[in-house]
Amino acid sequence: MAGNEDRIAKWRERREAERAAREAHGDLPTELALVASRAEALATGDSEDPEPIFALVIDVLRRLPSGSIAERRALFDAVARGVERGIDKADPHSDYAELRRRQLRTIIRLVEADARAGLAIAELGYRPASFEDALEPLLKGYLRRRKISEETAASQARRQAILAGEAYTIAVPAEEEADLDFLRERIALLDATRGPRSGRHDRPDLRAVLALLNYQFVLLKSESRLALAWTLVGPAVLMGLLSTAYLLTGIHSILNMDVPTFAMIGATSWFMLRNVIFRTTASFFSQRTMLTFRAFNPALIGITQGMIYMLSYVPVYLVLIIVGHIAGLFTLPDNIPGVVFWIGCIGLTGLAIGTIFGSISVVWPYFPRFAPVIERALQIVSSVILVTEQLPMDYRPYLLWSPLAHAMQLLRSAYFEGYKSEDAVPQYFFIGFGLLVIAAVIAQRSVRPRAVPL
Amino acid sequence: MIDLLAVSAEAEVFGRTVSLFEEADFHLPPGRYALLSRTPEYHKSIVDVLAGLRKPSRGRVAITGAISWPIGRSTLVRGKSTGLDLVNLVADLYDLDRGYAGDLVTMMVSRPDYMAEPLERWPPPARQEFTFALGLIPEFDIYVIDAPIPYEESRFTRLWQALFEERLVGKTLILSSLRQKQMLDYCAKGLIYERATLSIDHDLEQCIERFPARPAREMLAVTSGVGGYDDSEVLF
Repeated sequence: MAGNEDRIAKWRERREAERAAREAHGDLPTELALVASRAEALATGDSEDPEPIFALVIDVLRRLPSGSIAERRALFDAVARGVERGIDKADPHSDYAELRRRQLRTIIRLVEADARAGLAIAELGYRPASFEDALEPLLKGYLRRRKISEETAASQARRQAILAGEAYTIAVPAEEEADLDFLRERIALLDATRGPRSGRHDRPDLRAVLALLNYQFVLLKSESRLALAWTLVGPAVLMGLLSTAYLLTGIHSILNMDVPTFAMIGATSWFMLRNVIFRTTASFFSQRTMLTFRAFNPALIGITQGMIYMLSYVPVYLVLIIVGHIAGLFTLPDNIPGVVFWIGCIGLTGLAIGTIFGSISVVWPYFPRFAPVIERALQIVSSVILVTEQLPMDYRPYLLWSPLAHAMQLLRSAYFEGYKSEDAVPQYFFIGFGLLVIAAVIAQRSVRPRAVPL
Repeated sequence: MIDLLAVSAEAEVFGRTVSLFEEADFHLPPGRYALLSRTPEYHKSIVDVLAGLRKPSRGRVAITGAISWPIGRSTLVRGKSTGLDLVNLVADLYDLDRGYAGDLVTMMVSRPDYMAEPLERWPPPARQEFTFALGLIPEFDIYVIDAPIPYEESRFTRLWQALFEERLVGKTLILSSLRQKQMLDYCAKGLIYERATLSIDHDLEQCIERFPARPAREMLAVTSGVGGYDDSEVLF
């Protein structure tokens, strides 16, 4: 009984299908109308797979009684007509409709070519030899076109949102959602923990100075170890040369100052000064990238760079004096606050000179090449090698015009108990230093329009 | 909001000193602007003036609110400091937590393993990502971008664009980019530099046609003399 009912159900189903096919494709014979009706489903889904098209084409070809060219053409036309009707009904994206049309045309071309070549296309397992090669480019092209279409649609939506002043949400794949949430949380924490904003944004504040000092310190640490060692070796070499010159001429004490300590304090202070000058000058050019931040200006960058190198000489002094004293080479300072004060004054003078040199280098980039020459000339007249009291009265003015000579002699006065400079005048140094600072301020301000980020 | 008050500024472009602004007065209200002109080679200098990085020779640039540095410039990423050093500098400068800032950048970039390496050793794509990631750390009222916004299909691009869109809500943007699509994606109006002054044009699409980001070679041939531009034809 059940088998009979199944047969009746199938017969009814077939009758329904034939009736629907005739309604849709009434001008075609029933068999072809059924083929066209089956083909409609090929374009109504969202599958990009060409296999269902191929399977349908082969299936209907197998049912052909004789397999003449005309019969095959009628079948192919029926399939194509079904696909078109499917497209009309489902109204898919035009790119998808075009993909299904092209896949069908390509499959028909391959099958027909094989049929004309005499291949057994109706046999089980038949497949055109170049099936993948012919159909793969179609799919790739479709995917490319679909991506462009999606991007165009997204751009249009975005543009509308921008013009309407609305927020536009960028979608990310599901696997990146967790990362995005994490980053959102970090941004929220950054904003929430941010301190009160400075009212002024166009000039450096203490925060900017500290941030830059910290960054400069990091840069100092990243210097080559050889360069850092040279901060110790450089003064030692100059000290050795000066001491040797004095000792070879039989001089062991200069105005109650022992020669090694006299040479050490002069050489180290001078090396610190020249390093501060050169580093400050160079940073006007070498650290122009820092000008990308509005809170920084060239002078601030130069001065913080110079200050870091000035501070790097603290361990140099400590190592030289302590180790030298233990080794019996140097005497200890008599007036430590006085020594620290005058070393600081010499370093600050270096910052002022470096700022002037750096400002000149903004206008004339070749100028830093002359800086070592100027520094050597200054060294001769700055009481590094000798103090003015060693010279006859007539020659002393040749050195004493330099404020640095006064500072250097006052430094030695503070260091040595037995030497108090008669020629050095603190007021002279401070006036000279003040003029240098004024000149540095004017110079750096005048070149600001030309100092721009890299 | 940016105001140019009788601003005159000069800049050196391709070895020649050119006048950027001459007694220019201009008011830039909040909004999203694409910088356009017939002289794209001046854009860096113009952006410097607008961002307060190039001091005018005369006049004043008044910026209301916090303005970003020109985000995207690769020149920021160079030297012996590491990526984390630069993150810390930005965090210190804007009074932000170093840890959160480091997390943000490290998690976002494609090559977090480079973060502790000196910047001079970084490959160009890593530098580009880093410069844009840095721009997301502080919150600004005015964002200035002076480079093509990341557009290659990648995780970084998607994350950065998503976060930047959120950062940008209600904020001002000045975009200097060669990519016209990005102008349309991010900007509503054109910020036009012409005749040594700035103006605003509300029809961005039409502006992009008038001021192509890359002038055609024919135009260059007409307007450039030996070794540079003929100022009389190109500038004013």
